[in-house]
Amino acid sequence: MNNVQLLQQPVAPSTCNKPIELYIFIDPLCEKALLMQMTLRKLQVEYGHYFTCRYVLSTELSALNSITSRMKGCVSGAELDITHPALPSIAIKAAELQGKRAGFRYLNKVQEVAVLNTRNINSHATLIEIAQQVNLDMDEFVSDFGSKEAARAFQCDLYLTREMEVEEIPSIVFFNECIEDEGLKVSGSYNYEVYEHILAELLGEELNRQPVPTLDDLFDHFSILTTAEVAEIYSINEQLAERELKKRMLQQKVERIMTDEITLWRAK
Amino acid sequence: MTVTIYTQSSCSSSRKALKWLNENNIAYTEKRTTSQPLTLAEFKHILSMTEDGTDEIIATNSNDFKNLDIDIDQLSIQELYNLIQHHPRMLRSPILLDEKRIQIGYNEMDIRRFIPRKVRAFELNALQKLAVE
Repeated sequence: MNNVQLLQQPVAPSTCNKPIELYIFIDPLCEKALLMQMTLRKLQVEYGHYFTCRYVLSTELSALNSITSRMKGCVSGAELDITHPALPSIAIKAAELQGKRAGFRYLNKVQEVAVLNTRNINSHATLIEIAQQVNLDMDEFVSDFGSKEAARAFQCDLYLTREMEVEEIPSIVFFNECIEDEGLKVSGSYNYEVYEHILAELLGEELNRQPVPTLDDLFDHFSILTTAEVAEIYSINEQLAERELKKRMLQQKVERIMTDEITLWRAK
Repeated sequence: MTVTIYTQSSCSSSRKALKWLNENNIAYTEKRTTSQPLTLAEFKHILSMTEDGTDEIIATNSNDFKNLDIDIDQLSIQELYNLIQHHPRMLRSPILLDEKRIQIGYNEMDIRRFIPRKVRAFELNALQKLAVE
């Protein structure tokens, strides 16, 4: 007799400890999206125990209408290094088929490459290489990249954008637990305090802030950070943040990637 | 779009979830994984909605899973899919999903998230006031 078999299946643990759902509508390659994601990171660090995030890609469709004659016909991306503005979005959805976290890692890397602007992010070859760098299951990624499933997932995002009547990118739609309440659509990007206020209002209670993690733990979580983000998360000025980051660099814990426009810090 | 629910035979949680969907008049498609194996596309769709891939959807206390005695972290997606096709009971059940979210197992509070909700725009004035403060 095995008693374990007689036990009833336990009731699924409630996700009610995360009572808020966030639907974050972004164009992954838009600078405004990056700024908003910076704010969201701070929100996640402090109040991540209250909400789940789902990124919804809402690429401006008109930007995608640039099909060239070379691409018509039956050539797959793998045979020819095709470049097309819809490819990054499709690739992100293909990565997401391996789970939200894998998709998020991939999204971040795509954005990093786009910001650094040293490679063509719309190119098939670049997008495949990024998948390798973030340790995706490559067999699956390569077959998903050109698949109906990835295209369907992207269409599903566009459908959600329409369904929630999102007209401005970036936007965030908040849902709380109270199913009688409507979702709350916040169009555009606002400062941190606004989102903090909305969270508190939707929860109907005072927010409990989580202790800020150490810088090392922060890099475990988000492998790439800007000086401004670090300053924002720790509420310190940028000089001080930079000094802390340089210390980590000397300890070989992070590396600095600089271009004319931006400085990024990456966990080593 | 409707809710898709993946159920297993003789699973009380699956029955409860179906009963709830019926009572709340929510359109759904039921797929019984024990009689009709998941397709690869369906499996990937489920994975894409999970937080961290496989951990959440595998019933680690099921006999199917215990008898296999494997480390799922070591498997490729394809290998895991092949296993699930032959051992559908290593999946947790029910699995409900729509285009927004996934729910694994039955929980009477959480399943209410599948009730359709409208969206309203946040009052911009209120936001601006806050920004001035």
